Amino acid sequence: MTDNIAIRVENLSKAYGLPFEFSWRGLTSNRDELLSRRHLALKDISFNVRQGELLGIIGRNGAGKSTLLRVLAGVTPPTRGSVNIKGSVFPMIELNAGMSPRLTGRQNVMLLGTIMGLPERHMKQRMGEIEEFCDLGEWFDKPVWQYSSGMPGRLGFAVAVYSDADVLLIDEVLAVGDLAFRNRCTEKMSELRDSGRTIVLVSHNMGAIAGMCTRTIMLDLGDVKFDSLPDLAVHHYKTFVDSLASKKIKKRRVESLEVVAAPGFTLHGLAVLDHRGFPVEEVRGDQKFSLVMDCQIPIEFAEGMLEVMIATEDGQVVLEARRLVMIEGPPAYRRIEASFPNGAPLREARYVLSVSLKNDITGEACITAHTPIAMANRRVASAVIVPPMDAIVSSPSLAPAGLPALKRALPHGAGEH
Amino acid sequence: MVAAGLNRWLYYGRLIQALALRDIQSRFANSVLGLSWLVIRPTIFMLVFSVLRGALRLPDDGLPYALSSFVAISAWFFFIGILQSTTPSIANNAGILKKMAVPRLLFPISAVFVGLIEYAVTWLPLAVLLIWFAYPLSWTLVYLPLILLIVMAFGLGIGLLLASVAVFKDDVLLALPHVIMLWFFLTPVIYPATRLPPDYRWLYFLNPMTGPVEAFRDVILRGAQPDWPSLIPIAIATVVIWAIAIPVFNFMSRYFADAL
Repeated sequence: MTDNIAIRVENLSKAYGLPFEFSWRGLTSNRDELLSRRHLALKDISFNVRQGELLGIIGRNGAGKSTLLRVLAGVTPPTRGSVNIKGSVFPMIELNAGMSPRLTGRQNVMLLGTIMGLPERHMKQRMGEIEEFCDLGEWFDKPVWQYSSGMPGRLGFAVAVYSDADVLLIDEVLAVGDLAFRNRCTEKMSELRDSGRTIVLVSHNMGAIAGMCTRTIMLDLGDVKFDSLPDLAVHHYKTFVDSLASKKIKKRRVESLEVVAAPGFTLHGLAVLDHRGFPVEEVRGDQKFSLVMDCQIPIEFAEGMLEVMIATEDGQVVLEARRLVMIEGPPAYRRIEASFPNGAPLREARYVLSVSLKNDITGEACITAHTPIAMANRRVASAVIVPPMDAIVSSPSLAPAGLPALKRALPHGAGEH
Repeated sequence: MVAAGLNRWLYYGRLIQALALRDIQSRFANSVLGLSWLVIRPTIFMLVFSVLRGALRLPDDGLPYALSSFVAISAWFFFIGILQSTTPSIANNAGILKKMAVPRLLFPISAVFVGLIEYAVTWLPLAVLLIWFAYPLSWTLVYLPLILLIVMAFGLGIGLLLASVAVFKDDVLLALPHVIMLWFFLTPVIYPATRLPPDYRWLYFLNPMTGPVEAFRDVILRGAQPDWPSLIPIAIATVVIWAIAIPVFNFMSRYFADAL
């Protein structure tokens, strides 16, 4: 079997800065100590890219996308783990950087080619194509400082495209240039992909990611959160971003269950159950736990988005999970059970747990409940975690008053609107 | 993209050349006088000290003062030009360094070549002065490349060390002008070393730059061979600096992109 892996990333972690620190106590060069003290731009990530793949990388600002490209480009060394790339690499990380504003576009193209180790002959042969691809007209022979903001990026991208490198690392080209240029970029990248070149593309342009890439990775907080087909990754990312937008929980203490329900919706009870199914106030994070919500839902509400969030008492979200739930059958009391089979690695503290059933089309919250919760745990997650969550909807025949498993019964009338 | 073997050295050579050319081109691209600025600076220094000489009672050693000081001033500018261009060479190329895995050593080296080109330009006014004072050049000029090489090696060694620290802390760049100024007065640039009090002359020759500056005068003006023993301090200093600078630079250079 031929090994056609072009990029191999194994357990890569990256913390910026020198691998030692001076302080009054002396020199620290212990990797573990430094890693624990510093911000990790990448946290123990592993993945492979096969030759001919066009891998898209998406994620919020600060997710680690550019750091990943830099490490792949060999510009900055991995703090932990390893990166192996087969073949020649052409990184286009900051498109405008490395250009001399005083030199003309043509001179910059030559300089960039020289920096990248392309033979002069190659550059001269390709100059015509590069000039045509840039489509800058007379600007190509004018100094770069006179360019408008989108123009310098075209030069860099054109050199990358005509470099014949095996692996191209491209950061945000699609953000520069006008529509015509962007279309040419997209076309060219698809062409390169089909000719067997490996491309890693970082972009915030979801349309382009979904349209061109063969695979997409979503990074967040230095970790690979999703690695799948571009459409799925883009969908996942959008859902994730929406959930972040909706989770601006105000700083407040929640002493007991608080409920807000839209007309027609009623929450009858909410309980947190441990792995044996017993209601608890304190959850052990390393074991399965679940949330049970008994409610009344109007008949026309057939499916909804169930969101669970855990925030610290000062309003910082540390866990979030969401799941589409289908509600079928005649109107009745519904029991929605959301379970976390792997638990949740949260620091030992008091939290506010929020559950919300939303209209998945309008995003409008139908029922939202907040309840205090305590975690008992040894494992600690430093970032927002998105643990796996299962959700089951059932229709218990018993009236809500007859549900003994619900520890926290609602105060009288609180669920009414 | 970088090829192996001989091709790699060719690539390094081409890159150094391209970077040096870019620095020279872009520095003067937007000025009217262009490269003549390289001539103006040592000329102004020479004129200022020629005028001040009387007031400062600067000694001379039989050579025309303008000529003697110009040769030494241009040599001194060659040296400090290397320091001033190598030290920030990493930060100045942040754009490239953050983006591409180019050997970091090439940037300070190309900065040294910029210094060499600049020095070559100062030979134009020097030629005018030599003709004016009717001073013929002698065969000893063949030693000039050697002296230039020694000064380059010394300057590059210091520059590498300063550059590797300057990326992380700006103090180096802030301190550099002051150190250079102090060093300027401790080096026999605007006065000849031959007129120093004999008892203290050995002290002067501990300054690594004293020997080379005098050597410039020797080979260009006096038609003499350099005073070889006076070049021992710079030789030792260069070896020591390199022994420290190369490992430090190599280590620190891996993390340059992290700090820029």
